[in-house]
Amino acid sequence: MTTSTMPRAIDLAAAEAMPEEVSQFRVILRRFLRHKLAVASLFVLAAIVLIAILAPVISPFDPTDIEVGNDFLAPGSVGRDGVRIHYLGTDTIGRDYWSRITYAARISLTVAVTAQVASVIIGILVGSISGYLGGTVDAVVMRGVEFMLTIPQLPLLLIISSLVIQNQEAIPVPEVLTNFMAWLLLIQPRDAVQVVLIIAILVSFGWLQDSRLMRGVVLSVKEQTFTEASRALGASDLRIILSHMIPNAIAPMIVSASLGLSGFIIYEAALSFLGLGIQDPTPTWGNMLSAAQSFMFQHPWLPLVSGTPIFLCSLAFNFVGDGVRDALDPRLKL
Amino acid sequence: MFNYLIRRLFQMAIVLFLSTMASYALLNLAPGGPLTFLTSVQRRMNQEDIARVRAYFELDLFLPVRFSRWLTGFPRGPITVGGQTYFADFVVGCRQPREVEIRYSDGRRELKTVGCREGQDVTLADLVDRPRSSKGIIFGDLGNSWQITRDRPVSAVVVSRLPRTLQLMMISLVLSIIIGIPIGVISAVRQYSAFDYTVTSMAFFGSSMPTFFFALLMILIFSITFKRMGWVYLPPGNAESVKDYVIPFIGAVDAGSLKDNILHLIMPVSVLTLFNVAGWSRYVRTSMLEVLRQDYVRTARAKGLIERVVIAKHALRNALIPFITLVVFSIPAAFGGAIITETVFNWPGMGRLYFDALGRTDYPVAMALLLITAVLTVVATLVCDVLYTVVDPRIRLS
Repeated sequence: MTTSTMPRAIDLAAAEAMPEEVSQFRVILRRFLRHKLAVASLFVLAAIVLIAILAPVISPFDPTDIEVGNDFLAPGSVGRDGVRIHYLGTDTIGRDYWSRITYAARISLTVAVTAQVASVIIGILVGSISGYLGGTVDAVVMRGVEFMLTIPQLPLLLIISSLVIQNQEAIPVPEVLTNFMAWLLLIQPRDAVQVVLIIAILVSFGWLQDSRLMRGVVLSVKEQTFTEASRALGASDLRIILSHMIPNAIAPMIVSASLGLSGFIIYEAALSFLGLGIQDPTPTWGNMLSAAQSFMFQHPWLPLVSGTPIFLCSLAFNFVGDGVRDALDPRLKL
Repeated sequence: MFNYLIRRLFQMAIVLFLSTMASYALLNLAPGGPLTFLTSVQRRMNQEDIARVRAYFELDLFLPVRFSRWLTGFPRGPITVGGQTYFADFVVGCRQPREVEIRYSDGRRELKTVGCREGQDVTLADLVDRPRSSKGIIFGDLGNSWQITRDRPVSAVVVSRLPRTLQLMMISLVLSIIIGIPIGVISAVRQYSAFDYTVTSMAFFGSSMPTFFFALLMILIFSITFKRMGWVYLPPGNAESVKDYVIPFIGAVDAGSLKDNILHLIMPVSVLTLFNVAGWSRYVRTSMLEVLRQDYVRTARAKGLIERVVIAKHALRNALIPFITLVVFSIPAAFGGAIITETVFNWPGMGRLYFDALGRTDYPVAMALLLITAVLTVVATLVCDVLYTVVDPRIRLS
């Protein structure tokens, strides 16, 4: 009798003592959820993304429609047709502010996300090639990258974008890209050229940091014993890169990408604010803020409306990035 | 050490040469420039006028020749050796490029410049009576401005703007150091305290808030709202007022007086200081936390030193070593000016000058500012490396 129940009792005790089996993803998710501000920011971002996606549905006006004579209408006033309402009023030339803000969300977010993804891809390519090959290639590439990182970025960014924007007709941009952007952002293909060019300009500086990060990971993984073991077992270079380098690089790259998004939001807004980014008929938060600046003495609420989303978005991206870093790589914590 | 310095100086010269060449090419290869502005204002420009303007701005010379003249002032004409001139017919440019219209099968037309028109070559002999050639950047002549102060030396513009930028940047630099370091130290010593959390949130705020929006908010609050309320308000832009004004509680302010200047300084300095403090205090905190974990700090405590001495003498000194980089690199930034802050507050400094130069295609001014920034950055890098060895004998230069 006792002999038959004893093993069962041991089983139960063992089951209680054993930790429940959790997947890696669960662990990461739980760690992320512990960061309250990051979770809250994720909701804010989700709301902004939703607004951006639903822009054509939730905005009563076309963002470029001008109601002549209805400049600077107060928030909540009725439009020319007597039916639709300008929730946030109208801007300097009578365009609906709320509609412009929602379409601008679409554009600003797309620019930031696309620029970040492209930077990460280029960074991974350059970093892993230069780190893996080493030698002269590595020395030349990394010296160049370090030099680019030393010089103040804003002056160069301003030169390049002012030249590019002045000569945008002369720059051949693949029509596939502009048409895709025009379709995605619901703007004219003619205006989409600027969007593509601004993304390219942001990427031209964005990949530098990512490539250094990737190179660091590659260099440290190269020295690990598991790489040596793998090579001793006869694995090819490609296999080592794919099965050891890339998986080890994913966590730091995701962290850097999520923290970098806020920088891209701010840089795009700054360029557009200074008039060297995406130009007027296409709404972005930056160029709306710059238009609002000229009239802020008469209409002080205008800069608040177009500036707040920039701040909110970049703050939310920063918090989410911080949460992702805590979740993926607790060692990286400052 | 001596060898190291020689090698570094040599490297610096190469880096500077390459970066100036790159930015010169970038600015000059792009179409546009002063001609676009002129042709859009003056409709009745004929080929002769265009050629004259091109010659005036040296746009008719080939890019390497132009770059060489800008950098060194050479070539200034044919080479004369013992009364004998050589290379007088050497072609260095083209007055009127030959334009060819290309018609594509789909009906598009495009004007392309192919070579030079007959007899319109610029030779070395033509360069002799060119009046505007700068004596060369390396001899300290930055050339003449194209647009901002037409035909006046760039150095005069720069010198007129420099004091304003230095005033703004130095005050905010000193304030940032005075405020940022103690904040960072306290939040490291009292890690996870309420103070620490406040500082961390402020750092997040600082890294997320765009400078231009924050600057606009300050104008909105302290200039516009306060003025409407009848409270003490601050002037929204520029460095000095044009005419006298009266501010509640402060009284009459004379235009151009020190009081006037200080009132104008408050907002831009606060913006710059806030962003510096947000970043720097976080930096000091991180490096202080690292140092506090070191063995020598534990030794100092074990010897029975009071905590204040441990923090101030043993920990802080070492924690500030990486901080050198930040402070030294803020010197080129101080000369370059804060482009966005100066633009929003309409501050007549170098940052706004640079922005105006780009907007009005005044490339000599833009190039001069870029060059100044590049030289200072390269020098700052060297100063940084040398300073490290001074403060931390463990680091050797090789």
